[in-house]
Amino acid sequence: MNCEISKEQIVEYLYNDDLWPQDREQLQTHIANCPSCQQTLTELQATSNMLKAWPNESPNLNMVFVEDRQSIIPKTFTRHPWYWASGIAAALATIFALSFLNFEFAYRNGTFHASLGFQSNTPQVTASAEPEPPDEVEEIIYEVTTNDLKTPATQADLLIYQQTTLALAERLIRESEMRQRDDINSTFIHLIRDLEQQRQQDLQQVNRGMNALYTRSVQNYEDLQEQWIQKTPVFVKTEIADTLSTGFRPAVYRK
Amino acid sequence: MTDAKLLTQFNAGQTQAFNILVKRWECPIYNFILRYIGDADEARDLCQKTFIRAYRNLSKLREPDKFTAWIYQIALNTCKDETRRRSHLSFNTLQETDETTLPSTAPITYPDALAHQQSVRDLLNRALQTLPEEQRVVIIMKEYQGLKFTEIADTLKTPVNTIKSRLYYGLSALKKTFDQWHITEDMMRYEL
Repeated sequence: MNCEISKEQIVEYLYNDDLWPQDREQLQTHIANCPSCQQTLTELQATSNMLKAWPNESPNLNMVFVEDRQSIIPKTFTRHPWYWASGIAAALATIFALSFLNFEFAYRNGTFHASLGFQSNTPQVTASAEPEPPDEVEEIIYEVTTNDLKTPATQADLLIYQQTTLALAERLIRESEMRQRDDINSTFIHLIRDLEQQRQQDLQQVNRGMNALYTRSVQNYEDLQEQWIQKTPVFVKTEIADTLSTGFRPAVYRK
Repeated sequence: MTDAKLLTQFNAGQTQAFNILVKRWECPIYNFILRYIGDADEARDLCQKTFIRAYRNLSKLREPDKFTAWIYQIALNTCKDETRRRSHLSFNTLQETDETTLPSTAPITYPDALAHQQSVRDLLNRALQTLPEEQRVVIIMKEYQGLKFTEIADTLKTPVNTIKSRLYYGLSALKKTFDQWHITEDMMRYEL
């Protein structure tokens, strides 16, 4: 172009976009009197028209989105870091306290064995983790606590004291085991219930997705039918109608 | 219902609103990708990827009024990622393709409308693929998607005047290509 009109202005004029009416009039007047601009515009218009010969195509994606679901399993097992930190701290404190008391704990031949002692030459006391009547333990504790503390402790006193402590430790272990078992049972019951709930949610989502797909398929079918009716020449439709009226019927309709 | 209202519904937890958006936008986005990439199967895959990306990032869309620019941006980025991935796999350049697959210059007789339409589609597809990417995008967005200059500028984050300039040079380049291939405006028309 060898005039003052820029290529941007020609494009604005071609698409009639981003142009004020008075500017458009001015451009129109100029182009009417400028052979160079006329030629450019004609060429651009022709190219634009040629591009329009490629019509839009239908993708038929049939995409259906269903809502995100929150996983229940991580929610059950995921805790705040402080939860785990406090648990670990308590466990470490217990281990430290037990090691200070020279506590020994082992599992042999199907039973738990625990021992406790202040002196290395003290004979090791081994006890089975079988349940014992709680009354007996309480009696021992009572006897030990009611002893006169001013009298020097004999070897027998120490032995009684060790046995009492041992019995207490065993009872604590039993209770801890029971509590852990209950906790695990409770967690699994919750987990099973949550999984069942999640399964129900999944089924509902699949159902919703299937319904959406069905609706879309019906709609697509109706659209295609409408397009076919619009595009099919009249004489073809007449022929089909004639064929049907002369008695031809698809086998599926015969009784 | 406007796109902005559907987005509000989606953000309120109604996933069905997004399905309406997909139904509304699948045709424009698919055709945009098809003309950018040039292959129907690939365009279908990329179209699906675009909507999946959109679904995952919809909550990050700050201005619902700019959904048009936003969805085209995602489509374009998806196409660019694919083009980048393909460039690692293949070393065939566009120049080589052009030299070996120039269309016949002999007059074409079309047996029927469908074959004619297919030929026109192939010709225009090849012609578009000869353009530099930045011009091709602008031409597709303006000619086929009917976007305004400001919308194209928003999508490509490019000044409006640059968009107009690219459109001008793109159309001029296409005209030269059509001239080289001896394709005229009349050949694009077909009457039953």
